[in-house]
Amino acid sequence: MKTVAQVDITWHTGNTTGEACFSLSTGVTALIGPSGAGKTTLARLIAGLETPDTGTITLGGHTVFDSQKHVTEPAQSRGIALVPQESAIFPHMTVYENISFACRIGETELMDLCEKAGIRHLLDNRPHQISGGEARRVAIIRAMASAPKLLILDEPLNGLDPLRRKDMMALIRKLHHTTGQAVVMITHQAEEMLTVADSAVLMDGLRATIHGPLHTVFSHPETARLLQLDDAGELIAAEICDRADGMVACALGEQKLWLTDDGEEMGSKVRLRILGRDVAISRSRVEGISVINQIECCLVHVNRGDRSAALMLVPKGTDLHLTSRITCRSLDALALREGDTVYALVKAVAVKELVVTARNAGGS
Amino acid sequence: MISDFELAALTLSFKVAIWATLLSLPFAILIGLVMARRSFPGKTFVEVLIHAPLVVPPVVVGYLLLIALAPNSAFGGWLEAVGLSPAFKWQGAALASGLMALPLMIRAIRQAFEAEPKAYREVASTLGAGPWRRFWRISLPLALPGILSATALGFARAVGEFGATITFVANIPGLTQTLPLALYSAAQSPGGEAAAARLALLCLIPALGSLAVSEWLSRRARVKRGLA
Repeated sequence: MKTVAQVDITWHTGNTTGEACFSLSTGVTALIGPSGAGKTTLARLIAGLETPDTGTITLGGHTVFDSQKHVTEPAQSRGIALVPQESAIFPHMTVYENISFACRIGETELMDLCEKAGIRHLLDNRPHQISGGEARRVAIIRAMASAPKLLILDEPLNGLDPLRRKDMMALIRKLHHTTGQAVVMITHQAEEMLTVADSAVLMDGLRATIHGPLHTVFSHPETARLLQLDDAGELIAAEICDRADGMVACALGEQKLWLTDDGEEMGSKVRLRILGRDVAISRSRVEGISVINQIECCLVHVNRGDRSAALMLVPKGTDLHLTSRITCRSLDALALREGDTVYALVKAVAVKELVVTARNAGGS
Repeated sequence: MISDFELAALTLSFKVAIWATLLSLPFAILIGLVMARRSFPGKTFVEVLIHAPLVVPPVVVGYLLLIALAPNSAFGGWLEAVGLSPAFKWQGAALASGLMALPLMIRAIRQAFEAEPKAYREVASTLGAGPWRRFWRISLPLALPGILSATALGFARAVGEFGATITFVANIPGLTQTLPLALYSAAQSPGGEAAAARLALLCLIPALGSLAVSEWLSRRARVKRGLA
């Protein structure tokens, strides 16, 4: 992935100094952290609505802020569109006037985006006639239509009910694939990050220094602590390769991981999350059990805790990871050692499918 | 029914008040915007200065205008030489009424600008809109109901202006005698009671009319964006 922006700045909020140092790549980046971590402030600093104390911000190789060289480009010439939490739809304009306020794409493309976002029938409405969720979609389309080099969405899923959250997450990915614009999505929920993002920046206490591809950030110990994930589990990127009896299978090397069929196309790429507590361990294949997935793995690492242990497993013939959390008693009973070959038992219904991307679409 | 003398006062009043309002409006918008958005050293002093015409007796304002712009003053003499002297002309009446209306207009317009959430301007700027575009497309239309009522208020104030006008441009029938000045003259002259009563009623027309028009316009603007 190409680097889109470099951020290396400090700022202050009251008496506290904030610090951010990371790079943003093409694709969707989640800026994730607990409430009050300074995510919105950081977004405003990058967009040019506030000024950092020191440091540099470059966008597409062009410096938009440099404290030493006294470069501070105003927000309007940075090409960074920010969609605030409150959407800020201009109340004196129709929906159409809103989205064409700063439109730099063709009418056909604009209508295509509206169609995809499901706001095409709202174009003649006034902002007070549409719902909060619709207003948010209008705000996102308005920002995308301005053809920004970077699009920042501040908590786009806040306040939506679970069904609309799911739709919105899918929409953000779909729109991102259509425009190819780099997107930063601010969130405080791991679920949103795992579903939408390709990479992530972790932020806490006005510090944003842990960043990288989603897998890297997700497996960082800080992530589990900050987001209070009692069970992080593993993220697996795989491809749908088989279908039978109301189930689909993903290839894990030579083996198959079965999960419930949600109508995914053959060959589509999926992102799966398997929690450690949903993975049981056996020394050999088990007959007469409802668990369909029995994945032959190499036990590469045992992390023994007070009461439970976390096992890191590598399915045979892959470089993927699975984690399993079992009690110390089971660990001792099976006399598990690093290097052993074991079977990971995973219930098909425990496999959480986060993202489906059709075979011919770009991205992951 | 209505004498030529009263009709002349009525039309002159309209002319003076319209010019006074048009003259003050751009300044009121500019000053209202600056006072709503900027903070600068000496802002309190400027604030006091702007509001002075509201609290200082209007006669004082007329007197100051007279000192500054009368033909025997330096600046007034120059204005006279280039043919722009406002003293003892209807233009002078417009200037005096405009000055008296200005603080009221600034106050209303400033409140309208202050009521606009910052988020609209910020979003517009991240969408690539510069200060001018933000002003014309966002701030001005959003403040429009406030600007309209400010205009009506200013117009009504200008129509009713008495003290500053009579001090600065005197009370010359057909030239500087607006409705309140004509009413004053009628009330002063023996047997002018009927004329005074008619003039008093005439004074109500522009005042109430402008308020009604502004209410209607700002209501329409509010309905359009679902606020009423």
